[in-house]
Amino acid sequence: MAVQVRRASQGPREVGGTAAHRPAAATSQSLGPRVAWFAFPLFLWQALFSLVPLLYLLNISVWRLENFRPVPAVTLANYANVLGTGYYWAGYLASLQLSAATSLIVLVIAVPTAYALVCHLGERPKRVLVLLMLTPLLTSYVIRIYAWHVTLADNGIVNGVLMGLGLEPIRVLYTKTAITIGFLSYYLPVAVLILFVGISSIDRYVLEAARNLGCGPFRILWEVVIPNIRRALVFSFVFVFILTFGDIISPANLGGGRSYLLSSMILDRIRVNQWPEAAVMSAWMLATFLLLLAAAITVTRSRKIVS
Amino acid sequence: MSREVLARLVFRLVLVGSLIFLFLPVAVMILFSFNVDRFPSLPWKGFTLAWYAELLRDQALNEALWRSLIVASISASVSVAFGFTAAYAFRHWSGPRANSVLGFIFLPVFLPYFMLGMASAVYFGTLGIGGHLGAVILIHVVICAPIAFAVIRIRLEEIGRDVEEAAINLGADSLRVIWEVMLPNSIMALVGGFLLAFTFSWDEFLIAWFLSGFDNTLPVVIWSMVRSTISPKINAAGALVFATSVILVSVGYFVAVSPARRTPSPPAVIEGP
Repeated sequence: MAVQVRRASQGPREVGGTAAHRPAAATSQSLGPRVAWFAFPLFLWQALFSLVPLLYLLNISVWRLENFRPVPAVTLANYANVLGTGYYWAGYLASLQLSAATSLIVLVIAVPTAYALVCHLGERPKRVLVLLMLTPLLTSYVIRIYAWHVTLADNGIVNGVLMGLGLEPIRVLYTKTAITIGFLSYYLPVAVLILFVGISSIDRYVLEAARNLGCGPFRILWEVVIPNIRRALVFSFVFVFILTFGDIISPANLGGGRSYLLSSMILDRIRVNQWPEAAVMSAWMLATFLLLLAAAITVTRSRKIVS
Repeated sequence: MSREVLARLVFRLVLVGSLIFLFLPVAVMILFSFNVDRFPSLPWKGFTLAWYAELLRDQALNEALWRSLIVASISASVSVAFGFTAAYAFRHWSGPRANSVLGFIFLPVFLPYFMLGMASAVYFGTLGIGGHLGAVILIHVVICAPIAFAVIRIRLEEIGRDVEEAAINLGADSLRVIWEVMLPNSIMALVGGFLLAFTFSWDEFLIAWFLSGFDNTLPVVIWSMVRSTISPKINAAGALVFATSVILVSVGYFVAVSPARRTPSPPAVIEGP
């Protein structure tokens, strides 16, 4: 109540002044430090339920396994076991290769798709198609992977059509190609949307100028659009790489029973309750992500200075 | 000029090709959920709703459906509450420290769900609180709150600072500004954020798989069905789950995100004599 009275008495003076014309930042300046606390609940939640569990997992990587239960200890034996096993290195390299290939394929398809979305469509179709691109991200990944399973099966619809045309049936299911197709069904729209935002933020006048100076659409894409969205390109590559590297849904369903990727090997370790070794492999994975992120940040920074 | 026409054609073909790639398998799945034949192969044997009827009789699926609805509703509600308060904070709070907090909040989005699920499973296991739906909700909020936050923040940025300023000048304290000015003005964004968060939780499989114990949610049950058999019943379940998400997303998009719909800020608050 007291606060309200004081404010009310201040009121006329401020209105009489230039309160309404004050720069907007003034409110933020006065409210900023106090209002910042409103972000605290979410901050605390994320700390308690993502950072703490992650640190705990990393901590377990130096624990010992006794009677199939992790027991606190400080040992590097798990690291020696995992990093000294050729099988895991093969899985790691296979994961690196598959994620790098997938991310590249995603970019090659996503760039022209996003370019077509931004520059070659009217407002209404654009909005509808962006929503269509958004749909796969918000509909069950498990179900879409299963749908690919049905579609690609040996006697599925793809082979049915091929044989109907008198062609040889293809055997895609349970190969790396199938895993990549599964990845694309989720991560392609992710990249398209990131690049959509990137291309949309290019100054329209720059694109128009290029057009007026006689650039064709291919040349605009290559010489104007791509140099301007380097950060979005690097960012979507890294994002797709990280998420596919840690994906087990597509490998487990479309890749058959064998585990030849690091993520599925971690899962195998968990199945036999080997949590410390699973934790070591997660740490290995996280270290890879951090290196990649650091590389991406360095690349985008240095290029920014050049341009 | 003809080259330009060709180029336009090429880019549109890529776009259409991407969309066909994304939706073809789902279309195939939905199609085969109506097929009489047990196996998803051509030729087409005839139309039936029998698989949907069988779905309704499936006890495990029905229970899982209710669990998923509960988990998604609670996760989405908590996410919207956190998302709104945080969005209000970042409306007025900027600078390097604010940016690092912002980055930290979005960090889990960059983490494979697999790793988040595994880490929380082992952590909750030690604390003795793993293996039930509450644990799933705790972690679902971690991934859903940033989404709700992002949607709500876009809307809050559209509300003019002058409106808030006027309320303060007229004697409202910051809680009252939030309750009587910001909240009513962003109600649609809250609904949109809720729906988006809901779909993320509704569809999320890995975290639920790690944490739900014996109280499996719908994606987990569908996953175990997928792993064990090929049955047109799964096609039907998939079609229904897909349809639910599409409806929720479309409503959420047109309610909150679509730039076509803008509510004007309340007028005449700062108009003096």
